[in-house]
Amino acid sequence: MVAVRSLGSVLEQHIAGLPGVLAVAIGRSTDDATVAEINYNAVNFTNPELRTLTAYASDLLRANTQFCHLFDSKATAENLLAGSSSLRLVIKAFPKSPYFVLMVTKASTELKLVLERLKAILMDAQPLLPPVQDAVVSTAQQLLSYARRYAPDPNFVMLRLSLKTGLHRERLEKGSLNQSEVRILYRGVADLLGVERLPIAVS
Amino acid sequence: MLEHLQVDRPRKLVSFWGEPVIFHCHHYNLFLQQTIEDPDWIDGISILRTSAQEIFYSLLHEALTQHRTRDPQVGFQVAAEIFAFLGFGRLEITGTDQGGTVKLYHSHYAEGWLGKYGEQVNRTKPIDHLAVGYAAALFDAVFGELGHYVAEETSCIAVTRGEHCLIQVVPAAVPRRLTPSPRMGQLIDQPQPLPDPKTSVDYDAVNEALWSLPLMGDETGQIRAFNVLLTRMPANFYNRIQYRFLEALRQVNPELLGVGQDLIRESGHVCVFYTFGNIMESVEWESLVLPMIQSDTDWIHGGYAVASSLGWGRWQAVEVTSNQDCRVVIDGNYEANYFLASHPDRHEPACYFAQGAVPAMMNIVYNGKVADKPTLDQAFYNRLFQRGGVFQGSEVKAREKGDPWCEFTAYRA
Repeated sequence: MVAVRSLGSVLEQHIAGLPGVLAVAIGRSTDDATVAEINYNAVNFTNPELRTLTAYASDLLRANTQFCHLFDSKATAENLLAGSSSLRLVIKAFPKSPYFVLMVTKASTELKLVLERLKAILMDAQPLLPPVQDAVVSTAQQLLSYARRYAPDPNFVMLRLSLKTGLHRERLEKGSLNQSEVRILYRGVADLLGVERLPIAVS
Repeated sequence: MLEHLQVDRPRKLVSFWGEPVIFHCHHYNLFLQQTIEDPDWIDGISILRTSAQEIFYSLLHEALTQHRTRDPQVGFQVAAEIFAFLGFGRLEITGTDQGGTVKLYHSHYAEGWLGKYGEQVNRTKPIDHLAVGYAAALFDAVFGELGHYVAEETSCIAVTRGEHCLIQVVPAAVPRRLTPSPRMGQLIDQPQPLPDPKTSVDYDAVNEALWSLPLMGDETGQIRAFNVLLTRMPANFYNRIQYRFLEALRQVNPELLGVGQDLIRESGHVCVFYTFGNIMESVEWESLVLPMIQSDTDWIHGGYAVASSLGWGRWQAVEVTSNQDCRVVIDGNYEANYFLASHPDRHEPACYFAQGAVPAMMNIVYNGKVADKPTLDQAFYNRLFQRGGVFQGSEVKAREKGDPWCEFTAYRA
């Protein structure tokens, strides 16, 4: 009998025995989705928080790509390191793909070991990645997702945007707005964040 | 200034120059203000400024009348002392009956905003709407009558990150007809006999201890206590801005009235989380309330003993089931006192702040496990909601609809 491999089982296989690993996930930067995750620290770190982290990792990757392209338009992002004095976040993108793997470990975990495991995950997970065309999100949904990540008081951001834009909350949550409403939403999100422009294109 | 505070012990209200005053923190003040200024399809900023002008005029007019002075310099000095005493910052006022300039140092709203959001968000518009209304009100009180002056903030440290804010005051081209404060509002005749709560917390003892604390603006005009910036705000400012705001929503886009109500309820949640959370982690709580606590439900009672010390009225938990639900009576809530006096023809439950605050008390004690002294920051607050099992609440009795008191329940969603 042959075991069916999944992205989850690939993650499990390659982080087994790695000391200090707290969470690992595979994300997709086109819609900030998490397609696989393992959370070893659910007491202090909820699964929704891990999904939020995946979305932040998408932002970091995008920023890193822009940074690299300033110097070399053909450059591809390598490992990306972030974190604090106690935690480390390592992100590695799948080649020519919007998918990436992120791993959260204690800062004391040996970086070399982490990079080896990430490399192995990339090799084994590559054939199992779902088609990217499944990941189409509307501009409105991108704007809402961005607001949830960066606006103050994220729990109330939908209520705030509903009042700011004059659009009913249920319509906002569905994200199916016409072009004129999307522009109003763009303005509302930008205003909440106190910025002129957002990194999301609106036609 | 402390000597001008009057405590109405039976009703658990506090007044200052005839205006009911209550404590709230900068987290609540900023949340409520943003809710009102956000929708540019109603004139929220005008609601904030005008309401401040109306309510503070009543307070300042009474104060200056009691001081028996017509000297503008004395009037300016009294107005600046009151502003600082209440925790809004320091004012430097210059001017004549032709108008003047008000410099605002250590603005409660601007410094509160910078401390809370300044590293995250860039602000492009001035924030001191209350101070703008206050500036107009003080010129009204010193030189004229309510509505004779208008003011504008021309520089704000929340935008410039400079040394002080600047407000210009000029006579109104045409005096505006504004509505004075209803003062203490429609008070309860006498406290209702409520069932004795099953708790070892002595509400009255907590009240007396907290009423004796000299909470007032320091040399910067700020009240720094319990790890927050407090203000002793005229309750009718909150009341007026929240009911005017909701009325504007009702008139312009009634579909969004519910969103406005929800956000005001959430402001109650924000208040309890930050103010009560920090109070429950303070040395004052440890020395005053904690010795009375024998069970987890006593934390809820302790919270309401504190609430009824803040000038909000007679708040009392009458039933608390550990980690499940509670029933809370407010006999003479500050919101109802105002609403009954200002909207005698309306009969719907209108204590929106209390509707949010009551479930919030269960959330901070049972979901937030405040007894373990967590760090009360934005990340912790977000987690409280993400983890589910959040307490919800409803107002099941209301003086506004003829009940003898207002009553609220909180239960797990």
